[in-house]
Amino acid sequence: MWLIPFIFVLLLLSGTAFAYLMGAVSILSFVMADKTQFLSILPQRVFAQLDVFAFMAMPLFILTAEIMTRAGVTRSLIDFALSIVGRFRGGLGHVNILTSVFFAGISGSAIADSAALSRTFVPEMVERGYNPYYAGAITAASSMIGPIIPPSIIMILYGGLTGASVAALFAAGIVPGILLAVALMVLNAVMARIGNHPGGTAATVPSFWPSLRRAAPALLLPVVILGSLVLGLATPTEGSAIAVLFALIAGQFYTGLSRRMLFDALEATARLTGTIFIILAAISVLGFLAGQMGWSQALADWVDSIGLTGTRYLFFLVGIFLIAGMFMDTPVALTLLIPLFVPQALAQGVDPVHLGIVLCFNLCVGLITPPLGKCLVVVAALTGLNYWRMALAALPFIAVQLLLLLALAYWPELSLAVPRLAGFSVN
Amino acid sequence: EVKIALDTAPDLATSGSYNWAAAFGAALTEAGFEVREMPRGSVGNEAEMFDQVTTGLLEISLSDIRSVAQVDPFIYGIRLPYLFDDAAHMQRALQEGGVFERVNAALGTQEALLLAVVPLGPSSGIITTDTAVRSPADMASLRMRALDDAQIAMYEAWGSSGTIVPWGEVPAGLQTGVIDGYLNSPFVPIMFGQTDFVRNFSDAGVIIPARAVLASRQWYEELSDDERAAVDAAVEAADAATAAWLAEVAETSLTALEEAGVTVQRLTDEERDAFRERSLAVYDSDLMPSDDVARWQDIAAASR
Amino acid sequence: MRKFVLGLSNALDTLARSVAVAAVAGMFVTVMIQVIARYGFASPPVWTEDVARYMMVWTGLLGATLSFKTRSDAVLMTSVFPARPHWLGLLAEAIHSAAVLTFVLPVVYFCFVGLRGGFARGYLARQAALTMDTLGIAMVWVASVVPIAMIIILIHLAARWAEVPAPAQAEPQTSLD
Ligand code: NA
Ligand code: NA
Repeated sequence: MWLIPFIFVLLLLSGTAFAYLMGAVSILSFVMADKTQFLSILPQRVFAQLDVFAFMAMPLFILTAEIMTRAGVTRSLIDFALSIVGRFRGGLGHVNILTSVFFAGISGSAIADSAALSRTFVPEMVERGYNPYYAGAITAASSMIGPIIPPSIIMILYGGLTGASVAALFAAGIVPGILLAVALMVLNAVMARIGNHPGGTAATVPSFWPSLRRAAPALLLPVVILGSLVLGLATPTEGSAIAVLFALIAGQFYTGLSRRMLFDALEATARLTGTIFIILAAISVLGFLAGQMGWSQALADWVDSIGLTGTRYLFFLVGIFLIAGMFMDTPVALTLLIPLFVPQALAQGVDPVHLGIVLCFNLCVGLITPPLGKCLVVVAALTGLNYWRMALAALPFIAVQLLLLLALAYWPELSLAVPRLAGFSVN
Repeated sequence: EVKIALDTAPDLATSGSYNWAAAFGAALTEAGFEVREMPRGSVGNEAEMFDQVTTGLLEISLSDIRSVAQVDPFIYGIRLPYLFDDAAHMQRALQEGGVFERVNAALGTQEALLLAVVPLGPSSGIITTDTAVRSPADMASLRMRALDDAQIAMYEAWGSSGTIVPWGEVPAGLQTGVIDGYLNSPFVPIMFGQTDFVRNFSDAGVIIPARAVLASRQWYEELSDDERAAVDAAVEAADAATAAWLAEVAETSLTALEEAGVTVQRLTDEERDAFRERSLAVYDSDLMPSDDVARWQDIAAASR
Repeated sequence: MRKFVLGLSNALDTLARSVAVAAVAGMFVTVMIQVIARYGFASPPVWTEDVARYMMVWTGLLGATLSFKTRSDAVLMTSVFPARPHWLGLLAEAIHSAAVLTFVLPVVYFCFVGLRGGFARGYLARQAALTMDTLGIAMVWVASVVPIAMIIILIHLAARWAEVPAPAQAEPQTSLD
């Protein structure tokens, strides 16, 4: 068994893709634990653990965003944000954040937001006289709004792994997402005053009504998704198909959709789904070993024995997930840690929806935290800025996000009030 | 080591299948076996539990009826509405009608063995969010969650309608109104914490919700004669224990629902007959081969 | 040989891409049918849920081959070894390949061979005996995607070694988190 950590580190250092790293380590663990005969269930395990209805919302929401961005909605969202907050000091910073709020309604991923917006915002902010690292940092930090405001790929993943209602999670993400946007805007306003950032001039700000009309279809998408769920037209998974349908219609409103565009969107969706499914497949092998060896039970007993209960256990989890978020991709951390830590939290009476919001927010903070701040990496790659200097500029944003995270953990009501109003049963 | 894969939380108060598993495990332990309960989900989902039984990696599994039906759909007969008067009648019919022999002949090719069919709880009633149901007419405007074609046909025969919603989306579906209800045992809304939004239960007594206890044939056949006799005795003990539990909870399950704030409609025999008569349409639909339906009706009649 | 492996890998990639694209589109259409049927049809079809789910599994596993081919799989950390042709880069590639083989080979092996009963009791043979009740077809037709995807990954792996020089890791454009 002592060989396993050694092999793990070797695979890690050589840059092995996580799915194959985890799959190989899990299979070697079976051999070392003298449970080799159980390897015969591998094909069934891989199939069965992917064959989960709730996961279907993942490819369908990815497809929605792929169609919408290919149809060119991004520019209309930026113009609309400009028309609202462009005139203030630090205006482009506010626009950057507000665009991410709008973009969050069509995309379930922070990386997608960073990738779609950094090439537009960072050069434009630099041209208007912003510090380039500040421009990169605010782009990366605000992209975290993407997976908090519905739809959200990681919440679908969380719902699929824990059985929590995805519709309730979506509803629960609205307030924290808006709070995050407000907190970042307040910070931006303060920084604008300290750093004497430029403000928009009336000449460069587009007028409100025409830009609202251009942006309306994209802004309507989250309304359509949540509306179809709350009015009971569709289940959460089916809501993702309705989102695709809406994107196809809205796409006609923008540049129109060519066959080529559709094929590319479908192909990108399949490939992205593949990167996550192969991880799910590999982790499922480890999960089976954990079940056979009773690891989750052992961990539960340990947690009990040191008296971590209720809120204290929740804060313990916040710590674990924060560290995990700094080193791992969000879906990777979710698939790895949820089966291990979440059952005890639920057994102790933590509401699964509240927990989902806290943990997803938690992991997202890791997206702009070194060493592996995935959003910082993407912005750095697309703009040619130095990663570490940008990470330094992101520190105030990280601080604000941490404060909000603690508030979300401490006051469940921030997450649960909206789902309760929408008629979901939560604690 | 005999691993028993559970299908519910280990709760003797609400789970018929856990009553079975606990009694079976206790009897085996007494006979000198080493027994280990595997918590729900720890060995995987239904498809995985079945696969592990057939490969000899799992000794005992509390599986769904579909696991058996994917090898021999004949077993679906126990889901015919109002086929059995009660759980005891169902057990007599399965024994006397040679159902175990027939199903096990088919399961044999898959190295699996059907040891028992276990009632999950008292017979299924109509579980709804807002509407109190006492007659088929009360369900006219409802959309019910259906398991399969046969249930959709039954709801239609009642003048209601059915739709397919996976179990994982049932809570959200009930809360948002995608569906208005489903059919199951009275303990199910309690077990799954749905009593906040499930407001009505009607004890229509449509079917006996059941689980299939599957054993690995390899394991069973490699037992010594004494050991096999001990296992067979443990099955009987577990069947008896579950029957005793069922008798005990027939009424208390309904009061438990009421304590959780759910309104319970206790139907009279005449009211239940209204559902029974309309349900007969399902027997004549061609969803199940008519020979099989006739066979089940004969089996049920002979053991009534 | 080298040409054959590269050609086979590229051809399979094109095929997998087409099937995966069809599976995503099919999944969308099937779920839409499920929603519309609930309100529009007298008797909604029961196969929509199964078909949509199975198309998702096909999407995911064929998508995994696309992801492998384009080297866009998620990594925990980028390699600390220098790139090929430096011998350490070669070593890193060899370690990757060993990990892929360790994970994929047992899956492929047990698709065809069972613990007892050899070929007659492999995963695919076991699935051949099971019938999907909503469609009435054997489960093996759906389950076959597991060995298909895994074998395609093995062929792409062989193609990585046949390729000279090795292409740099593609910068991921989007991701899931
Ligand atoms: Na979003
Ligand atoms: Na932004």
